[in-house]
Amino acid sequence: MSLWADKYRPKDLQKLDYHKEQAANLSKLTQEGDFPHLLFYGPCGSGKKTRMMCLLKEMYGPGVERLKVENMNFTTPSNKKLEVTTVSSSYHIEVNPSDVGIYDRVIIMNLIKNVAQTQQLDINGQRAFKVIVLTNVDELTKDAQHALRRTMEKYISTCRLLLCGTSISRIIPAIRSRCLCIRVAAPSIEQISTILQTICKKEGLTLPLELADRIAIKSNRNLRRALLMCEACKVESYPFTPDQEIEEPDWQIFIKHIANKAIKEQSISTLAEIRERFYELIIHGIPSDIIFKTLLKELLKISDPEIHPQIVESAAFYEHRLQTGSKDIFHLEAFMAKFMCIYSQFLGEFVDIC
Amino acid sequence: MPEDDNNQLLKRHKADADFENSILINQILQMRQQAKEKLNPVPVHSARNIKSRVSFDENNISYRLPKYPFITLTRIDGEKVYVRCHSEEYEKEELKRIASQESHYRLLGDSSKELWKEANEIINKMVDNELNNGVPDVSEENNSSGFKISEENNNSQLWVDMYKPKSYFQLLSDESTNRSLLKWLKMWDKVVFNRNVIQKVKQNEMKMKSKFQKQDIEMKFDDLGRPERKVALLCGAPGLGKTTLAHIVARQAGYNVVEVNASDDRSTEAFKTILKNATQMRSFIDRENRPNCLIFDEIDGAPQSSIDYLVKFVTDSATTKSTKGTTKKRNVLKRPIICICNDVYVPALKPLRQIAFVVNFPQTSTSRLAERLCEIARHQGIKTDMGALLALGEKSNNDIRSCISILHFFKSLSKKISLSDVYKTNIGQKDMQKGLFAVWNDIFQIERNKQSAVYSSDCNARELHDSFSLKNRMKKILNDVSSFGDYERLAQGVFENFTNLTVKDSMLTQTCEALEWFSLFDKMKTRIRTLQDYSLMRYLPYAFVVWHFVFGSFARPKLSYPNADYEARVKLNKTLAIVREVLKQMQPSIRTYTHINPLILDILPLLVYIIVPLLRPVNLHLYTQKEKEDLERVVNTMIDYNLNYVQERHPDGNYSYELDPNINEVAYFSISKPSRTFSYSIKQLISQEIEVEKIRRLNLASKSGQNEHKENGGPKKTDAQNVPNHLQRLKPKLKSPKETIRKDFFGRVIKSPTTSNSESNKKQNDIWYHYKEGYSNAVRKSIKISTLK
Repeated sequence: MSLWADKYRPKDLQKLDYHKEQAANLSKLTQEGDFPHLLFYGPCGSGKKTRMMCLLKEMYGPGVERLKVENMNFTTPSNKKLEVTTVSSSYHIEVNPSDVGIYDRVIIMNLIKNVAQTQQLDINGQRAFKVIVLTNVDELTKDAQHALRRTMEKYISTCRLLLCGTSISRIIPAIRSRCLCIRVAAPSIEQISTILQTICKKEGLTLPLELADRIAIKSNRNLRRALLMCEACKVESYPFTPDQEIEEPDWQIFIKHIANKAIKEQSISTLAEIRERFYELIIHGIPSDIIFKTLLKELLKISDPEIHPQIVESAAFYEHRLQTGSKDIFHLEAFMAKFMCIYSQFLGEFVDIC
Repeated sequence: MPEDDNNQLLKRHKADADFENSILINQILQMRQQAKEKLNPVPVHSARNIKSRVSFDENNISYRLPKYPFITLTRIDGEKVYVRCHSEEYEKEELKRIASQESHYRLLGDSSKELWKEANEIINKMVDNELNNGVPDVSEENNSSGFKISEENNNSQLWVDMYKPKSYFQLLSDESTNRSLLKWLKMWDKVVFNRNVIQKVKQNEMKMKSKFQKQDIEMKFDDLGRPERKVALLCGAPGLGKTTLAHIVARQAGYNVVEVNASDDRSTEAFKTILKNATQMRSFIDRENRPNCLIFDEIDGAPQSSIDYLVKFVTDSATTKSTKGTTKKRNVLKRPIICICNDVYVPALKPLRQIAFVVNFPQTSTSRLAERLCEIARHQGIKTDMGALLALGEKSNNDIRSCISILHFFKSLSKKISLSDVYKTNIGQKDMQKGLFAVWNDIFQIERNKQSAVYSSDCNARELHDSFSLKNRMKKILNDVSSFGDYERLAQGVFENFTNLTVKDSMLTQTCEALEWFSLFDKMKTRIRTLQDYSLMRYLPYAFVVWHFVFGSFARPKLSYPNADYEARVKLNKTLAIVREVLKQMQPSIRTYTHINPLILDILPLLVYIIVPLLRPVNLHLYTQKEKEDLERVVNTMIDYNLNYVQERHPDGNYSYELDPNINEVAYFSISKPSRTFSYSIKQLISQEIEVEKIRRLNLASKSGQNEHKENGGPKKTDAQNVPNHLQRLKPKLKSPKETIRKDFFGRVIKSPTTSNSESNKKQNDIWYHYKEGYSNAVRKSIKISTLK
């Protein structure tokens, strides 16, 4: 636990740095001794999981921190062997069903039944129920979500579900209505900046205010990334200088290059070169919707505001196609071609006016 | 100039060979003509021949109960026929007799006399048939085409059957193909008929070498005198006459044809019996006692196991024979096998393809086909012109069978067949599956207007056949694509190839549209797959029409097989494997807060900077306090995320330390390289530190575990464990001496004299040795990891 992001992770609800009111509410919730199914949602790096673990600790005591990693095996009806890694303590079990792709329903059905059908042995002193933590619920298939809704009600006496995902738009309403939805918003720039300052103080370092702000802005309000960036800065050069270069994830720089290339020249050969780069992004495991989002942001930064509406419209159109399709490269390239088309037309008009 | 002379000589030699070849070909063609002429007029039957035939029949077939041994057969009309049954010796003699009739088995085109004989024989056979059938209708033979059809058969028989070639000369297929198959079959003569034909064949081969090089067989024989390739594999599009050729050639060479096709049971078991029966036994009922020739029709549909068995059957007997020699008589393949297939590249056929003599069937020439069609039309009294028939042949891709069937169909319409009729009817077009590249070619290349309709005044037809019009282009693409079927692969091919083309589209509007269709295509495809909504399937080919209109050009496209998508998937899996490896051994307390996506997006790209601080490549003891802290942090972080440096040996013999799992591959892209890397020595240092730290943590964990244990369950440790390492002594293992029963030479038990003083033995065992002096590395001393630091 030597990365700052891990080292200074709050362990108690009281020690959380932001959304304190929400933390207090959660703590009140546990005082009742019982709570409904919860669904935490919010952007990456906003501390959903941290909040969740704090809640569990508040409820079960420090025992939840003694974690072990286990591999569980399941067999699908078609006799395919699945292996899923779970992290569990004696009070809860955490699993990411989307690890197994389209077979997530099998995991949901078997795991919940396994856990929920066994009663906790010593009820005195402990809660009467166990907790199942499901992460990345927004990536669950529809089948799995439907499998979840009935089991959620059926085993409510013996288990509680904590769901965690980035967005609830892809979660079916039936599940949303069965859970208490808790939105964990991303921390504001100022919050991130102060957190960075306090951590640096704890490390015995002095962080210039400007640099902290710059890191916070560059991190895209993602606290985890901000901490990592800050640490990377420290490794690069210490003492800090306010105008120090901040290391960015390589894939972001890569996407920036793509955007610049598209602005520079619009032709089929450029399109072919960009395709190679898209493939490289995909090969590196960058999710396509994130490629879309980052690319659009970069393109908007460097293109003329006059064509922004068109670009955003086509991006939305192809991003939707991407979600309904399966070959990401088609949609990425289609968007790129559309952008080039829009841009070259705009340039043509511009020349005409001149 | 001796060299020049030599050259000239060579040239002349070549010319000679060419000349000879052309003579040979001419000869064949002439003879075909002759045979035609000879067949057409009323043949002169030689009474002698008929007589001998009749007497043969009298001796062998009878309606009354004969004196000789017989088999009873019942004809279709219910009458019983008794057929003579010969003894085995007689069969052998008969076989020899047939074998000695050289003329029958010679390659064609040897002498006109033999041809004459053969022609006579065929005619006699026909007459014979008629005599047997009791329909002595000689006048039928007057028909112009030389085919023999009795009127009453006309209604019941398909034309395809009726006009089937009855002899080698009537074959429509390519002459060189026919010859090479026949030649291959002739090579079996030595084994089957016990006759030496090698010399002759070799001569022939010498002559023909330059002409038929493409389909030439290597005239090699194995030690049994069989041809080296024991199976012939005929392959070609349907309706070219492969089956017909095989049958006729086999009969021509004097074999009895045993055919197995897709309608028969082709499981391995069935295959076994068929193979054994056909190659080791012989039919007795057949009049001429011919040896069998096995023909496997439509073998591309047979199950893999059966084909494997066939291959084994063919090759196995050969190898065992050669290794074991004559010591053991095994059943070896002594009969030719001909396999027929449409698609030679079916995966199941791969083993067969390697051992077989593959005969590729070229397309029949359209003119030759039209000629034959014309003949048939004349014979059947259909009014038509040559142009229409040529078009028909072209339309059906020179498929003889379908052409004849269409003619049959037109006959029932009983009107003149014109060119427009041929184009208008949608019959004759089959679900022709084109190859992958052919379809891509069609999409990227606009076909130039073919002036095939030029010899017809029918302008309507020309317009219909105008391949340049958008409507027809669309039709063609739709047809090609939907008959190919594998849309996904086709689309991928179009996608990966269109960027290499020279399409003029400066504003990219066209490309945009095409790409939008790609996007839509993918959406539909996904929907079809996930929801099994196959009603959408019919709209998929239209995407290809758009792509054709956008990307199609007159230039010949250079296409390559699309594999970028596949490669990307493989590499993605590799990346994910690395990330999973990181996740797998990660500390649980960190593992619970992260997943694949945050790991790829946030942690790993920044982690690669964090774990490479500025460290001097000097000894650990010379490090400053800050550097020591940095090092410790790096070591701890790397353990947290299950990273380590592992020594790797390069092909050039150098060693280097690499990150394992190599997250650099995940984090860095091709545009940037790691800004700072450690030198070999630092990596080595870190690697050692990591190992030490891991052991230390393990110790800590076990110690805390032990402490817990103590609190919970009391002391369980034995005293022995408490003794410091260097004070521990080896304990002699008490081994009870085994009771060995000694036996003498005859197996009797000997009472050993030593058993009496076994007690003394035991005492001796108590003494054990302790090493005191000498060279030893083992200096025992208790030491802790923590003290090492």
